[in-house]
Order: sequence, then structure tokens, then C-alpha cells
Amino acid sequence: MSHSDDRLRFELRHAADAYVPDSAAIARRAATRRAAAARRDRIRPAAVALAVVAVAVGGVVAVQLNDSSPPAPVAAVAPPPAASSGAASSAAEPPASKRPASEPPSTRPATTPPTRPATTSPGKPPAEPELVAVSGTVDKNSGSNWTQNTVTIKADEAAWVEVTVRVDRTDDATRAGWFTTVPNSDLTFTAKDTPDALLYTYRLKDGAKLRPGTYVFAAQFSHGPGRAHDGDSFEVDVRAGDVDATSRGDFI
Amino acid sequence: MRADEEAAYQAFFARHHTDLARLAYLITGDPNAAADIAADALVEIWRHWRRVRSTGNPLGYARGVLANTARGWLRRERRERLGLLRSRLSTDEYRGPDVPAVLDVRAALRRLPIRRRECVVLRYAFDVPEKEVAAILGISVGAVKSHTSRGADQLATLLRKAGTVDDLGLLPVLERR
Repeated sequence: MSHSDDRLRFELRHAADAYVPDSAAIARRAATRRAAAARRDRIRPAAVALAVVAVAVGGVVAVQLNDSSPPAPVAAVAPPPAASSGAASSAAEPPASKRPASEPPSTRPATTPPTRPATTSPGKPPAEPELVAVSGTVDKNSGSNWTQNTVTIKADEAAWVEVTVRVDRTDDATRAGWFTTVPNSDLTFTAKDTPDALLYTYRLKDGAKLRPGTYVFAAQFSHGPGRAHDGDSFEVDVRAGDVDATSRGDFI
Repeated sequence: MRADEEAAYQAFFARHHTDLARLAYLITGDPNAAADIAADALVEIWRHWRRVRSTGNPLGYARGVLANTARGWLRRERRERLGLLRSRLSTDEYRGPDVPAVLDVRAALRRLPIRRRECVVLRYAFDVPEKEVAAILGISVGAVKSHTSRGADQLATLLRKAGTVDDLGLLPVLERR
């Protein structure tokens, strides 16, 4: 590689790294589209009210709970017709060997019903998908000897949850405290120390549910200076309506 | 999807969504579109996850899907822009003589024909081997070599000329004619 190649490589990598995409936005869009794709593919008739989970770096998790997209199973996510832009389209076709077999071929039989733009679907307007969004953060008040790992749950509809925070027992990590914004009467908290980890479990009592809103589950611990939090993680079980879903993530 | 497949997909999502979005960003130059394109490509991957996983190179497959999605977005965007240009030739990017003195990498990339841009970005920004670029884009290794070499030359020239104003007034849409 020549000198100018090295420079080009540096500049391109720099340009790529300078862009930090919004992980939450990607997770949210992917979750919504997965629900639509699942309906279109008729993955399971019983799965119409499908739990869709998408994880992103940083512990952002989106669980779609309802079937909120307009009733246009093909049009809602159909790719643009490839034939509409003349010569340019042939270059854009995926190579035949890579094209997923279940994708409709570009020359559809004439009997295929025309796809309907999602915007013209009759009846109720397309609603925002109802999501339970879960994220994990390291509280900004954490210091060199004390840390709070926080799981935040934003529920668009009533849901039962069980949250487990796992703290790696590195650098003398020692349990310091916990709290949640869920009323204590609705909740059972369990502390368990294993050889490797401190476990904080917040479990809603049977029959209790989070009302739509935003809730915080905090796990506090002290530790030696400069502890890395890479090994810490959370797991959230969500039950809403007929839907069960599990989300896992890290703290950022 | 089975639970272990779902877990593998989620791990793939977590590990690669940022880089996929960055690939879309360098191809399209549009940060918002890049996030949407990455999400849509990841959904396509999920729909065919079992097969994608069995290829042994899900990332290569994902990059191919993403490149197709990005190309579709560029086509639509170009059609819209052409409509705009017909009525008014004054958008920032096409100002002609008073082009900003510093042409950044992103703006320079946008002036490369799409195949060159894809090859240069995959080879230089993401270090993808030539053979894999060929598979991702569905073209021959020879074509990858030629697009990459011409694209790199063109990009280097554009970046070198960034301090001057000559040659930069050409519209990409006119170059392609």
C-alpha cells in the first residue's frame, strides 16, 4: 500500500468512526419492522401479537407488544418495485445467489393482488407501536469506589416484569444498596451472592403490574478504584398480554 | 425462531449494528438514512437468519443486503433531488463556483460513482478482502480491483483539490450522464 493509500485509509476510517448512530433508534425501528415482517411471512398464526426484541449495544432493548401496524401485510414493508427506474435498477438487484429465496421475484404473476400503500389503509390510523423499552446505564453519580447500575423500563402498556442485575465480583465489589421507583408493596426483592457475582432481583408479585410509565431499578455497590463494568449485565423478563419476552443487555 | 437462534441474532445485532450503520453512512452520506437503512437490513437478516447463519459469514451477507438497501435509497433520493434541481439550481451541495474550500471525505465520496464508492468504502474503511467485496456486491474480483483503484485515485484527487475551486462545480448527476 502506498503512502496515499494509507492516508486514504486513515481518512475513511476517521469519517466512519466520527459517525455514532443512534442505537435506540435502530433497535426501535428494527423491532417495529420485525413485527411487520413476521406478520407478512406468517411465521406463526398464533404469533400475530408477537413479542419482538431487538438488542443494541448499550443495553437498549425494544420489545414490541402489540399488533399496531396498519393491516397491509405486504405493503407495509415491501421493497420498492425494482422495475420502475429503468437501467439503474438492474445494477441494484442483489446477486441471484444472495437473494433470499422467499423474497418475491421481481416479475410477479399477474394474479398477485396489488400491494397497497400503508398510508391508504382504511379504518384506524396506524398507531405508534406499543413498546416496552429497556436500557441499562451506569449512574452519573458513580465514582471510583462506588457504582450504581440502573435499569430503566419504559412501558407503553401494563406489564409484569422481573429484573435481575448481575454485578461481577471484580475489584472487591460489595453490595451497598438498591432501590426502585415501583411501589414496594408490589415487589419482592432478592439479594443473592454467588462466587462470581452479586445478583439483585426485583420481581413483581403475582398479579401486580407496572402501569404505563417509566420505572427505575437501581443496584448499588462499592468496589476498589478503577473497576471496569464490562462484566455487569441485566436481564429483564416481560409479560404483557399474551406476550412473554426476555431482554438482556449491558450497562453503559 | 428457536431461543438459541434468537440469542445468536441478538448478539449479531449488538455487535454489528454500529458498523453497518457506518457503512450506510459512508455510502449515502446521510446520518439519519444510515440508521434506518441499517435497521432495515438487520430485519432482512433476521427474516433469513437460519440460512444466513449457515453461510458461515453473516456479516458479509448483511453487508450485501445493506449495500442493496442503500442503493435503493440513493436512487429514490436522486430522483427527488433531480426534481428539485429542475426547479432551482441552488442547493448547498451544488453551488458551483463558491463550493466550500474544504471538501470533507463524505462530500468527496458522494462524487464517486456508486460502484467505486462501495468498493473504496468496503476496502479502505472496513478492510474487507477483495474476494469478499466481490461476493457482497455480486461482481467479479477483477471489477472490484478496477473500481477500487479508480475510486481511490478519484477520491485522492478530490481531497487534494479540496483547497481549490476548479472542477468541483460539476454535478454528480451530470458526471453520470
